[in-house]
Amino acid sequence: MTYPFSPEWKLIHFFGAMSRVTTMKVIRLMTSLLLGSAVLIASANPEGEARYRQGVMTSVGGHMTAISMIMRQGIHRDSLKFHADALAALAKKSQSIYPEGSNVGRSEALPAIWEKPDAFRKATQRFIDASEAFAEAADSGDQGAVGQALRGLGGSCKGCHDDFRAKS
Amino acid sequence: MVKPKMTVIWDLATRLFHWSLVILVSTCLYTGLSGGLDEMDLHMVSGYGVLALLIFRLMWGFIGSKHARFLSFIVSPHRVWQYLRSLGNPSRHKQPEAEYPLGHNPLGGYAIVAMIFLLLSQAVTGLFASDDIFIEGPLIHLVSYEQSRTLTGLHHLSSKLLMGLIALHLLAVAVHEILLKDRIVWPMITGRKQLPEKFATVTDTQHKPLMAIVLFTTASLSVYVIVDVLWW
Ligand code: HEC
Ligand code: HEM
Repeated sequence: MTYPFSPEWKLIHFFGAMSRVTTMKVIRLMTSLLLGSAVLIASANPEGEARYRQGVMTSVGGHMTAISMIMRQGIHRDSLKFHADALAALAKKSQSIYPEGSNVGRSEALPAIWEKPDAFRKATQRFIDASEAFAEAADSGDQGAVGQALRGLGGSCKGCHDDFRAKS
Repeated sequence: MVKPKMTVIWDLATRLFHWSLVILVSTCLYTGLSGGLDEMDLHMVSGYGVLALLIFRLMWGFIGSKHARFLSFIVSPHRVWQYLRSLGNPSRHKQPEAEYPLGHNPLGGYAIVAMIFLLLSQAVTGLFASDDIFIEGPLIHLVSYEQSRTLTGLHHLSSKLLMGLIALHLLAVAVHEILLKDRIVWPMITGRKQLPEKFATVTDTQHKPLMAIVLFTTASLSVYVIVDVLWW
């Protein structure tokens, strides 16, 4: 009864498999080890990465606050384009600020970012598209278009925070 | 046939308070949960309305009309127990007032306290809350970013408790209307309730309209100070 599960059986299986390992397989194993350590080195400073990301996000939030004051209080209207462009530039950055393993310390980045890479990529792409649309609208100066694009932009923040950022 | 005597139980201000609160809190819940950016503008405005109503109600609870006063409906746990035991008794309207309360019943009194407390915590945490995107409460500058995060978390938590309490409240109303055959919704609209015979001498509740207007103006002014004068 113990046959398939006994330690002896596992050993026999292991050596049997080993003897059939081809050169190709060894090469594949080596490459994946190399790639793995490359990823490790890239995020060798997870705390720094997390704080860096928060810095980028705080800048994003800062431009949003400024835009909110422009829209609500009607001041600094001529700076709208500046903030819109800054946001669009920051949005492009948002794909490269999530190295694996960087949700450490006080980071609020959720593991879902790495568990659902496709959905996350969609969220960053939506942010990039929405920020570009907003920059275009700001350029046009059409108030209706600006409001519409701003809603889309805010929605892209909220969509990602709902799924990929820890709730407060 | 003599028309049964209808007695004023709820004064006008208390009823206006109640139904405005229903409308404004529903608006807050709907806009908060939908989370759209346009809705959030309405969320804040209706939230301020709730705050003004609550400040009014706190004052009304001390110097308002008879059944609106906290001291009239916050009673000892023993009376709550007595009341609960009497519920199964079909002739309870012949019992002393402890078991056939005119205003809030002994258990309901505590529900009112819980409701006011939760709504206050909801509105006050909202003043310091932020979605980190486009909306922030007017007093956010008084706290640190971390503290605002915590208060926003409490705002979310108490909204869930609040929805639970509202569900309980509606359930209790249904129990009164359907199981206990005690009409309580209509009196909250018209103010009048048909009382059992033994309460024939109970007089109408005074409306005190002037007092109510003064208090509500004071409450609105306090909210104005909070959201406009104290804003930065
Ligand atoms: C693709 C996902 C994504 C998008 C889009 C996004 N965010 Fe974030 N944001 C995050 C994550 C994840 C964090 C938590 C980062 C951490 O703590 O490591 C965060 C954190 C923040 C913070 C807090 C920074 C800190 O110091 O902790 C602010 C403010 C913020 N975001 C604002 C915005 C605004 C405004 C937008 C839209 C203009 C936006 N974000 C769009 C994912 C996103
Ligand atoms: C008393 C009535 C109020 C109720 C019932 C209420 C309810 C809610 C609800 C249900 C949410 C959504 C929570 C979630 O997404 O889980 C919310 C969010 C929010 N509320 Fe209120 N609220 C009230 C008053 C206020 C007030 C007075 C303010 C400030 C002016 C305010 C500011 C906010 C903000 C900024 C958010 C967004 C938080 C986020 O997205 O993380 N609220 N509220």
